[in-house]
Amino acid sequence: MTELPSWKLDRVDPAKMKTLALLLADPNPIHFDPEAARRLAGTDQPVNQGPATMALGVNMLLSAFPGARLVSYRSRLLGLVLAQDTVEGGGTVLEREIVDGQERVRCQLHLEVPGRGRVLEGEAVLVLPGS
Amino acid sequence: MELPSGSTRLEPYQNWLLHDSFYSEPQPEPHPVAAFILAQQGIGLSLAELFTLFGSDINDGPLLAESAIDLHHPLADGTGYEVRGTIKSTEHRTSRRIGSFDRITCRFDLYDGGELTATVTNVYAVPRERKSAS
Repeated sequence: MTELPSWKLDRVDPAKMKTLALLLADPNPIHFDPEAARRLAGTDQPVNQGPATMALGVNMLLSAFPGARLVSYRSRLLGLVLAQDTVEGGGTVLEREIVDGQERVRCQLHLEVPGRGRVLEGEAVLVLPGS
Repeated sequence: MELPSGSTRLEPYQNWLLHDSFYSEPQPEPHPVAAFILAQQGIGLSLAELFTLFGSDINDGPLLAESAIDLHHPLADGTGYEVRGTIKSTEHRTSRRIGSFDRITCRFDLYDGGELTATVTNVYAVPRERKSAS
């Protein structure tokens, strides 16, 4: 199995959570109000939305396979990602196959917050470009 | 159980903002996780109403536990999607982290002109009693 290149997001930006709360019409204040995050989630920072954490896994995969098209993505959210966190990721290529003349890769991936452990595990299938 | 269907569209400015919110360089093709956003935007009830339907409240701490996105065709900005959804299953469980909860699986299908473009299957963990302080 081939390891995916290591990947890192230096800092989770709370401003992006505010934009996403509007786009999602998500009224849950833990994503934009630090006091509500303290009161409702017991955290000292706003909580990243689940789909935003999922998106980081996709970003890592598309960074490993530039120009690829993601066709399937399964993710389990295991822990909270908070504003100001650093997120690191990795994974492995499980399988490569040709389907209808297109090369597909199936990968296992994970994301973690250093010091707090894994926050996402998943699996994805990508179609490689030019195949 | 079927959820009320609805429709949505990812306008180009929303596509830009979504890429930016996802730490992705803005580009015309939507981020793959935009399928999740379109499903949530387009189903015929709000996120808060969805949790009310589950017998919960969005302030009670429901969590997105799992999500699966299948892109049968690439997404496009400026395209209108019809969104149909169903509650596939409900299972009662207990965990040390969140106590007693229901694991509710919902499937959302995005159609473009009658053709299935994407399927999003979300599993929500909906707390059913407050975990005792520890």
